[in-house]
Amino acid sequence: MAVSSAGSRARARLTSADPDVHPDRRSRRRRGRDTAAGYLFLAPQLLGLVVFMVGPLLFALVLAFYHWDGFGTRSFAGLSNFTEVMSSQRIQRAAVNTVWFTVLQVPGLMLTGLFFALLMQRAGKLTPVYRLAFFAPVITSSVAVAAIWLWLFNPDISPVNNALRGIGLPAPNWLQDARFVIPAFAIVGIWQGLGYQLIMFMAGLQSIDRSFLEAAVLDGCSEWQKLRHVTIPLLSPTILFLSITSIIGSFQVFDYIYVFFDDRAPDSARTIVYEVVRIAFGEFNFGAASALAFLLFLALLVVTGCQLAAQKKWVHYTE
Amino acid sequence: MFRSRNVIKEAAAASTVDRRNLLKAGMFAGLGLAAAPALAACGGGSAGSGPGLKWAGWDGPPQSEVFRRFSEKMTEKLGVKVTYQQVVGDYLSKLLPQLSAGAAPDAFYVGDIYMAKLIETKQVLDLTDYLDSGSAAVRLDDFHEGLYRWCRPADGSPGLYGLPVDCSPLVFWFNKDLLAEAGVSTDPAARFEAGTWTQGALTDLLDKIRATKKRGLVLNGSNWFDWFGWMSTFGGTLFDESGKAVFDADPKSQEALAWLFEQLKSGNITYSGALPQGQGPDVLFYAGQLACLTYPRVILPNMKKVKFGFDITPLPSLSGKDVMPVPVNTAALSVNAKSKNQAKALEFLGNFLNAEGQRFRLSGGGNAVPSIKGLDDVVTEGNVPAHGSLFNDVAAKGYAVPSAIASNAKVARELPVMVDKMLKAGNETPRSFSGKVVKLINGGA
Repeated sequence: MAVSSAGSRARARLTSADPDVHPDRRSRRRRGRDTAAGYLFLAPQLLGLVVFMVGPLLFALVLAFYHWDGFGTRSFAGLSNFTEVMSSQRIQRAAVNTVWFTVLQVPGLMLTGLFFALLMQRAGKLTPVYRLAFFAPVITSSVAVAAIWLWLFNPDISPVNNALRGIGLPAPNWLQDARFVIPAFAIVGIWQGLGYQLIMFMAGLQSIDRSFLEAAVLDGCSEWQKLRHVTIPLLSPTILFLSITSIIGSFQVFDYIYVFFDDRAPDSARTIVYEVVRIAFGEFNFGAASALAFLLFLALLVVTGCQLAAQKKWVHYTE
Repeated sequence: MFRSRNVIKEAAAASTVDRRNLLKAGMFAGLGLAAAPALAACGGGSAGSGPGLKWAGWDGPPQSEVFRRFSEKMTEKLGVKVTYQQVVGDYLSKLLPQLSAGAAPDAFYVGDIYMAKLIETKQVLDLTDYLDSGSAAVRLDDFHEGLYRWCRPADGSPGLYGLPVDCSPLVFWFNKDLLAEAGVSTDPAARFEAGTWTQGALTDLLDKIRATKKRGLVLNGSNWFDWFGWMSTFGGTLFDESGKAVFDADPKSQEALAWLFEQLKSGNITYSGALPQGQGPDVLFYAGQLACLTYPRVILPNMKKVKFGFDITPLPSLSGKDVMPVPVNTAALSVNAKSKNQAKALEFLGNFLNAEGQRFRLSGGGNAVPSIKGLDDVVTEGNVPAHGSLFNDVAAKGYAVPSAIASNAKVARELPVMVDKMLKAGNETPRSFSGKVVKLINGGA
């Protein structure tokens, strides 16, 4: 009898509403409960995000305003860490190197990626083979890639240099000549990143509705005109996405430099992230390193913001 | 039929374990499982907090296998489980967070350019009391004095915070076959024994090698270790008693630098920075393309595989017969100041560094040189190279990283970069070159 009574109360809770509570309030409560349940389901992921992403990010931001050698007590530094890194000629040089690397790598990556993706459309049954070949460097460790290129850039035995000499071009001492060291990193970066760009462009090309291209053919468009006026505009969301991720990636280049030069990279080869690591773990100046990392973050935020703002003028979404 | 379905519905509704509750319970369980490793990691797992003893270094195979066997031996001797943690990759960037989080091993290797910082921030234990206790497994007097000064506080205050595990003195390797082909009738080792291994003898040797179109000698790099020796071996004074760099004003150092720059200019000596990146002078030496090499014992395992005759001698001197002070690379073993097993960690340190420990680690193919006296036989194993005992003589006279460099990480990092830039540009005089370097070292940044 008691069980039956409890069951009735439970049913009542589930099936009937409290007549004293306003319907809007009930609805809000239900939504609140659903939202809470949603967050609880997300909690494992959110916990990881907070502990491993947001937490360190905030910690780095706080550190940027302190003097800290990694062990002892921290002392408030105000903006001195920021002024220190911004006035350092070494950091300015690293910033120029980073931008130069980005200017070389990002267009290089995207143009070659698009070019090969267009070619791959005509590869027929060999498409999976080519895709595999192009994608292999993407899943290869950057350290292994850099080790291979260390030999490919050796001017005494380099096939790259032999090829250049073969077509009558001067063969540079890639990693020792200050003028060529950043282009050398860009070549390695393009070689390794091409596969990813290719896959993304191929996906973008496949998503273009054939009817647009057929209509262009009926209108008498040449191949170039189809590419210029149909394919590229419809690929623009892919181009936007790849340009954002490529720029972020190229601003963070570090691994090649570390393998090529260890911790003794000359000024001409140092980038911002290389300097961050060097200042933190080489000079025990975690405050300045955090300030530099935060400035890099801000720079990327601004660049990405500009890209997103500019998209209204050139990105075309079909849906 | 309908009635029975309603009964089931009612029962389900009445149950406290409804679907939502089940999912919630599952979610919390999942959350707990997901968080457990993270929370466990945050909890530390300090090496010092457990019953065992952990020690860390950067040596991988084959040395790590020797360390594993040594740890087993120490487990028996100390009565606690001793474990070697091999740190793969950038050692310092992994050690620092461990120290900061209080989770570092009980004892660990310390490189020469961050010892000062670890002392300053009290991360490593002062060994003085242990060494003075009379029960220490190793004595300070056993060590070559020039090899552990950098383990003292940079400000001159008392204390000793680590001891060198072994050492790598800079010696002069030469390819006997290339020298013979070039018409060098008396090799450097024979000249040293005869007391005629002088600057002039080396210049003459390098002139003859250059005439054969082979490389004579490569200046190995731009770090202090790679070129300070050319000043000190020719009698230069590099630092005064207060630790300030003075070689920009020291006549013998200036003469030695002038000689070095002259050899670089003539092509007798090649700067390694001019070689293709990744093509080290040691590789040229193994390939028989380089007649002489100033390098530590570390290349011995590879040298045993070459087809040409080779030997070693100290760097030349003004007298032609003296073993002069030259740079010696070292790393120290220190005890974690926060270790909860300090007594055992100190005991381990003593056993790791004493004669028995060094013999265990360095015998049978080891590639370093003992940091203590009386282990000559370790470096003369197999009589390869013929004058292997000179490794010990050079180590005994040599000097580890100067305090002015070791005490300032920024200087230590910037020095090789600055020197590399100047040597590549090739437009400095010995005085302007040394003036800039001394300014960096004494200026602190």
